[in-house]
Amino acid sequence: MTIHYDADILGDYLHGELGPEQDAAVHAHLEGCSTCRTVHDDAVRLREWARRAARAEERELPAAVSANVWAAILAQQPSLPERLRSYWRPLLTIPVAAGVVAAAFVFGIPVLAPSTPPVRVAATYYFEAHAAQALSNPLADRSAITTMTLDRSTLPVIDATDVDAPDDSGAQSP
Amino acid sequence: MKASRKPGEPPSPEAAAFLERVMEQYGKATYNFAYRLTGNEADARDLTQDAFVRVYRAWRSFQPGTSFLSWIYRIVTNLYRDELRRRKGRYHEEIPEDNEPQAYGGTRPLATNPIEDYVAGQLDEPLAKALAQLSPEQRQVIVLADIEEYSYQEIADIMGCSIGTVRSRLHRARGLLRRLVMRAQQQERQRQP
Repeated sequence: MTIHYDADILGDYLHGELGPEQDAAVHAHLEGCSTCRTVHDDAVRLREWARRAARAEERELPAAVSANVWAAILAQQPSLPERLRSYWRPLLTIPVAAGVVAAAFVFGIPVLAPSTPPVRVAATYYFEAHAAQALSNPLADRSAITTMTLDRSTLPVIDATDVDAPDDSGAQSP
Repeated sequence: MKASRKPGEPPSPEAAAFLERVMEQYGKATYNFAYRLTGNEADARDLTQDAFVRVYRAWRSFQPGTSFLSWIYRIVTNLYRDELRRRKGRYHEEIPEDNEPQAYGGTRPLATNPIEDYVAGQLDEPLAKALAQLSPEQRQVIVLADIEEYSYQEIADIMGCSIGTVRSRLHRARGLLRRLVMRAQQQERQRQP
């Protein structure tokens, strides 16, 4: 009894999808089996017809395709408000950033402020220091000495954070 | 992968050059592949356009040294499958966009009557006629295996299925195609005096 290969196996053989051993076996079988060779040749003719027809029916790429592809890509452009925002953003960002830096410079940045309380110096210090200097300097304006008679309780206390803070000896005990 | 261009950013020179090159080199093959799957020019054109837009978006993910055609055929196959799902159960009427002469024919207008155009096209194109009678999956596998000459493994990669599925679809499709061609030949012989 002669064994024949089915069309599926012959199709795989035609497509080169069989393993080496099975491929060799089918190849040898086709040499001597006219029935299988007919099925095989029929499959070959069908494939050749399909390829020939495909070549004959081949079409050129329509010219509009390339233009439409680019149009679709460019259509991904953002809307007008988005474009305006992206245009104005750099123009607004720079002045705002400069303003923030200026404000930080003028008013101080809270997070950078020292945690210790500011040195508070009595206003009398300045009068007393001036009077002492005037006394030690013979050419100084002696009228300033009269300020030493001022009532200390009526003078304000000045926050000395932004002025040259005197050293402790000079400030507290003139 | 995300788009290679942020909104508002013009196409980068690299992406533009890549797209131009692949459209020039593979545009025709991609369009013909799409045409064999869809069986009509309007859908083939849309499919080709969508595929190249996707290529542009993901061009950085393409690995040099691999087959670009396999990649774009996979994109076309996926887009086609999505489109079939979208249209499933819905009547689709082809509406011509304009009546300008087409590039391939010069004087032939776009479908003024889709049915007439379809029939006229089928008479001239035995392969298109035969392929139109296969299921979409059978059509894909025949085109990829017997016309584009891809291996089963490559077809499985493109179609996103197993080799066993490719083999069974291909065998059924070949059997059906054989019967269709034989019937067409018989009818042709009967028509001849």
